[in-house]
Amino acid sequence: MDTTPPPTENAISGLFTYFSPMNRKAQALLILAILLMAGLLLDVLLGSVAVPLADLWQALTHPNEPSPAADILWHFRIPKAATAAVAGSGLALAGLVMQTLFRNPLAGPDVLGLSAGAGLAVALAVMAGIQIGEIGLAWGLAATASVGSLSVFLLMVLFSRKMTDPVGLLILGLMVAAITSSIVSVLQFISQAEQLQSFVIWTMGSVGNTNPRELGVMMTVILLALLIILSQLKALNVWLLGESYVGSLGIRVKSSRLWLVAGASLLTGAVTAFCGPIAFVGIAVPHLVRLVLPSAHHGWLIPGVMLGGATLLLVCDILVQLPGGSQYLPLNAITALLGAPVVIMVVMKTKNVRW
Amino acid sequence: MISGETILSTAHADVGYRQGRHEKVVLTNLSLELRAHSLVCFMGPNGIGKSTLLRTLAGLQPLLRGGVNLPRVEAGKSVAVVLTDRVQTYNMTVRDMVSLGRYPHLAWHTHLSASDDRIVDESIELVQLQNLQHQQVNELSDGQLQMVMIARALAQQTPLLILDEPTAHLDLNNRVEVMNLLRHLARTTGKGILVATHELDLALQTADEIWLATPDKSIRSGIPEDLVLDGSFDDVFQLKGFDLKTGKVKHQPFRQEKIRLIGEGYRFLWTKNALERMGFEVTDDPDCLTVKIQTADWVVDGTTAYESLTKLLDGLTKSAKPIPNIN
Repeated sequence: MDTTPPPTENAISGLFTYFSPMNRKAQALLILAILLMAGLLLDVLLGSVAVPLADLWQALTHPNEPSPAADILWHFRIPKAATAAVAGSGLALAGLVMQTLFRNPLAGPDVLGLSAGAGLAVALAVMAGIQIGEIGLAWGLAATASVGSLSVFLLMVLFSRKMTDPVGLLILGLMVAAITSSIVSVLQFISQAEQLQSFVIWTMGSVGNTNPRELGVMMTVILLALLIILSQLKALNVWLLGESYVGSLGIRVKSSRLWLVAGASLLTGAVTAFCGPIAFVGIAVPHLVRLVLPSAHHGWLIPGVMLGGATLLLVCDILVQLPGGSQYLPLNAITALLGAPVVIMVVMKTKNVRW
Repeated sequence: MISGETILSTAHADVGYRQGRHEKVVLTNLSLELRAHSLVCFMGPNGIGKSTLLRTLAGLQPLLRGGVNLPRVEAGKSVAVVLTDRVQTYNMTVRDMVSLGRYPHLAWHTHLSASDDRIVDESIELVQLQNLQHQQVNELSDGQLQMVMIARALAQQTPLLILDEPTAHLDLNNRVEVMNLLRHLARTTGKGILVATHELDLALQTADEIWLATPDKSIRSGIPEDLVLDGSFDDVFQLKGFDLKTGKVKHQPFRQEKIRLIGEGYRFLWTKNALERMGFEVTDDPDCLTVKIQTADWVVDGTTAYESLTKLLDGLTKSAKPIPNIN
């Protein structure tokens, strides 16, 4: 029996189309985009230094007139907001790819140890005398951190072949993160004071310390990773069914997995190199986005989580510098505060934590 | 035997696992053939390597030796599979899931053309899930989910369909429905369908051919009836208390008492079943106790009438001799 309504060109069928599932996905993306715009605007307007709106507007519309407001706006707040948005979208995309690849709602760049791997690589670079934030070393730092993420990711892929239980994999990831973190602690202990200070600040996570060149490097690497991941769009949707179905639908399992691992490692590496190991954004955002975006298709999910991740990290950045406070809170304190409840919700909601 | 064209054939094939230099051959020297329009049930004891052969034929793991011939070599277009892997998804509708079957035919952006959409429609209709097509996959029952996975495999439009234990975890009604559907699909779509199953009774009644994995790592194939009559099933399964030739559980006439049963039709069959289950031996011997089946009641020795089978059994067991101690 055919249950679809006949295609008629009138107001009622127009309403049907408007409220069709297809459009609910488009609406969700639109809402996320609006939230992102609001987040960007608020992040630029609010800060620890109160600047009158009129001054900010003046600085925004006349970028070449020097003023204290222009200085704050163009050299501090806009780069910081841009960094937060780019880093958030990168981490959220990495989280989505990992959750799909492992068919594990508890996967993410931080919980599976990728951020810690990047952290160890950066710590080794610092020990070797590289200053974080040094101009000219941005590419090197991004590459080092990506290699650190990649090493841990490959290790996790090996583990995942033996450990099919999602919670078990999560625990393995946390252990790997613990091992790398403790190596970092040992390195910190034996390192010199000035290296130590820049590194300790780095580990707290921050989006306010990137220079334009670093931001450019981060955006370039994230764009590259996005292209790699988009090339696996078909494969991603099928990975939801598991490895055997991937093979049976004519997708080369090993190369597809390798590209996705590379993409997620680049994303984590690029973000971690310049903003430090930011926790919970990667694991939480895909779940939050799935609540509003009714689709399992990565053609919708990828833009969804990138918009959502950018927005969430902007919100976190607004919260760390609430006006009136003279100091910044560590970014990771806020991301955990917002992200950890999401993980708790996922674990409590799914009786069997597997897709 | 169905006489369609050959879809799949193997020649002296060995299947198993290779790990480093070690090789574990699970099934050896297989020369099998699967034809269009036919439903083949692949049976054998647990752990004999049924899944391994299915995965190998589906191209999911390499053959150790020998050859497999499939019509189309393009990945994803010659064999579609339904596996035992549990599929749990979030935010995916039945239609989305079936659409995944079109993926081998789609470009990177996964846009479904009008003809792809039509094929998805047809696949959903074949398993009669039109009413559920916008339902979330994770809200379906096990039986419905299995139908969706079959529809997904159909949408792949491959000449060969391989299913691993599609009736596991289903209740009897759903098991019969799945097997009937597969038989129907083999007839109407011309696909060759290979099903690994434990459902001996269902397989015997629906399969065109049975592949029987034997403990000596080979496979016997033939129509079900031949394999029953030549004792192959008994060899492989070492059936305990089940007489395959009559299709019934064997009963011990432990009461050592004979009953002559007069009647016909289903009432005769089920009365006989009840008597044998209770340990009586049913014979044609005119010298023993007689039970006559009438339209309204059961009459014992022309004197006592019982209006139900339960009361008949009560009466017979009360008046019967005590059960002899077999030990």
